[in-house]
Amino acid sequence: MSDLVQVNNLCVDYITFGGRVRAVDDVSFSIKKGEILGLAGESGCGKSTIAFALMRLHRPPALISEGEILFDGKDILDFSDEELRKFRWADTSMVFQSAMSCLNPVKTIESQFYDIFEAHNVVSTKEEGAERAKELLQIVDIPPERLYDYPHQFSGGMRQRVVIAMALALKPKLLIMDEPTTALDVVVQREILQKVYELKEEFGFSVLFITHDLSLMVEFCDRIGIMYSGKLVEVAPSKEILGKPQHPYSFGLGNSFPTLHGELQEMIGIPGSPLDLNHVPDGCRFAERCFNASEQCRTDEPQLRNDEARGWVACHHPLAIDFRELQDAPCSELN
Amino acid sequence: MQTHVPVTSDQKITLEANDLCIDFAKERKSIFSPKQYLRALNGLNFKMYESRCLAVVGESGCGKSTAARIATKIYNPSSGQVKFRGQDITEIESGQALRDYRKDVQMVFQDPFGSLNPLHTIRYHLSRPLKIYHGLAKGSELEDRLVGLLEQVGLTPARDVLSKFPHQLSGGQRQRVFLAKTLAIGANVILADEPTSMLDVSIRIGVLNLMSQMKQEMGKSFMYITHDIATARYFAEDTVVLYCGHMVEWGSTEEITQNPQHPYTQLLLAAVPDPKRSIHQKLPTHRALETPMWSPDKTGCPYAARCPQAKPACSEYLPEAKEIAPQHYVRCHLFM
Repeated sequence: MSDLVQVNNLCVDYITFGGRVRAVDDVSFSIKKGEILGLAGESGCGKSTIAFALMRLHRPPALISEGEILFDGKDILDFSDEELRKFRWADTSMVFQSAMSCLNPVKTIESQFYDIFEAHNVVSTKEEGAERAKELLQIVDIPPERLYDYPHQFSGGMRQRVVIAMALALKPKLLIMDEPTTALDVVVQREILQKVYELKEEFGFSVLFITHDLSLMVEFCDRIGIMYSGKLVEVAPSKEILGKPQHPYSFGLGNSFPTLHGELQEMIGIPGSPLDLNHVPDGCRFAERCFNASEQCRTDEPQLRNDEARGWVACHHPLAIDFRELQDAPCSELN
Repeated sequence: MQTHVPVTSDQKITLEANDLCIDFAKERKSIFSPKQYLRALNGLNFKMYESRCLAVVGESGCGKSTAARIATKIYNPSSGQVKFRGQDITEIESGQALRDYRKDVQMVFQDPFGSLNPLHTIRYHLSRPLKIYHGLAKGSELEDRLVGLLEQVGLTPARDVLSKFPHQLSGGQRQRVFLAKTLAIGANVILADEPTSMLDVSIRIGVLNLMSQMKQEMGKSFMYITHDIATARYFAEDTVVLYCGHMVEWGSTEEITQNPQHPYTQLLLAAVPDPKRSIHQKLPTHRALETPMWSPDKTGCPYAARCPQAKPACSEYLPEAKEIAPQHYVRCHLFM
């Protein structure tokens, strides 16, 4: 499989009164065709900032200061406004967390679909637009006769499905989903993600999926990148990130969710609070909260590098490969 | 770590609800059209004990927050009783009796960004209840209590935290301040309405652990309202599963999570993300039907329309509760 998106050394800054705050720092990753890549991390770690950068949605005070984003070989940071307008929605579309705030409350679903078609010159008449919109609604299991309803007439889960139908309207190559189900119930969340997976299999688009729920991500994604305060700290196939975490932060994140089955253990989560990006330390950003930190961690910043045996990880002391199996003891002893 | 503990005889009941119903008037088309009601809770029964936690689990709109609001006397029930230490709280009207009741029963809210006043310091937030409920206005005694409270909830160095404003603290720290406030009041019953759902994932467990500590070491009685059944298993001994205002299954948390019997509970558990499963696993339900609105004149099981195992009797009446295992009750025609 070839790469659809290639992000190299991306940096995004926010200009504040206190100076520049680097929200995304030197991040590189790629998304293959037909792949689902997950980005996980706590709030404020820069995962949504990356999603916005991929569509170039940033407005001042945010700015993409360094790096390149290659989409099908073309750097989207060089796009003119007109190229960008065509690129958005037709090549990449995005589903946001709050469906209610991305639908216009005073327009029917039909006219919002028509706006998309009209802006990209794909239909000539309203009837043709309605016809295509109905097909799209059927794909996401919404009765086509509801096309003429207003957003407030739908429930939260249905609204999110309408937004997904809109995002797929022009058959994009990449679908970015920024916490699409955080506001929804578990049952609805599962129905929606199952639907997206089916559609992905059918149309073959790639997905960038952003959430903080690691167990959900493991079920849904092919590969997962873990972010911590603006840095990508580990990238691994999804099944390995919980079973064989390399970075202590991935381990801690995996250990923050109580299990539904098996024996209950006292859990610790991750001690401390997320890093304040105004005061970035010299060494590893996670050192303060890490149970495995050494002197080296406090002075040298680890780089994300590919190790034959380990995959991509940015840590001076990656955890042993079968750490979990060796450490049957509860993680409280590690701290 | 063991939450599968049966109630012992010396544990006292704190809060108890009997056949609680609440109706809300629906918006009418005009003032001449007949009044219509929506039944948010229908026949809720529960008992809360000292040093135990009762989890109330369900989808949004199932009435779980309404239950906590009745217990804190924000709403009055349409019928049924809530008893606190044997006294019916619906008889409490206002004044000293209400203040005494609220001294014992406090609520913790979902949003720690909205529940603390942004214009006041942490010192103000914690010294108000000490002044109002305990007459501690100033002096070294107050100072010691404030520091003690913050240390109890793990906010150190306490003296620095006291002079901070809410915006200088993270979500988890704010929720800890709020828990310190319930301790300052001296509440014995704490109704926590999704206390961790707005917090960062790595912080959630810390707040749950703090609440566990309050439960075990100080004998506080908790109600934990959540849609995350996995954290309910971590924290609560007893669980009630609500669907559309009805109790469908209840009993010990371990029984309910490991051996769910009601089709709705099975659906809820199947939908919880589990790394060991794949996303393709079919959910045991009929497709995407909406949760119905319940009204006082409706009969039958509210889940009948979505239930894959529904029988004709299901839409006629809701069967009585049946104890299918020790500490495990279910209301479903499949077990009649």
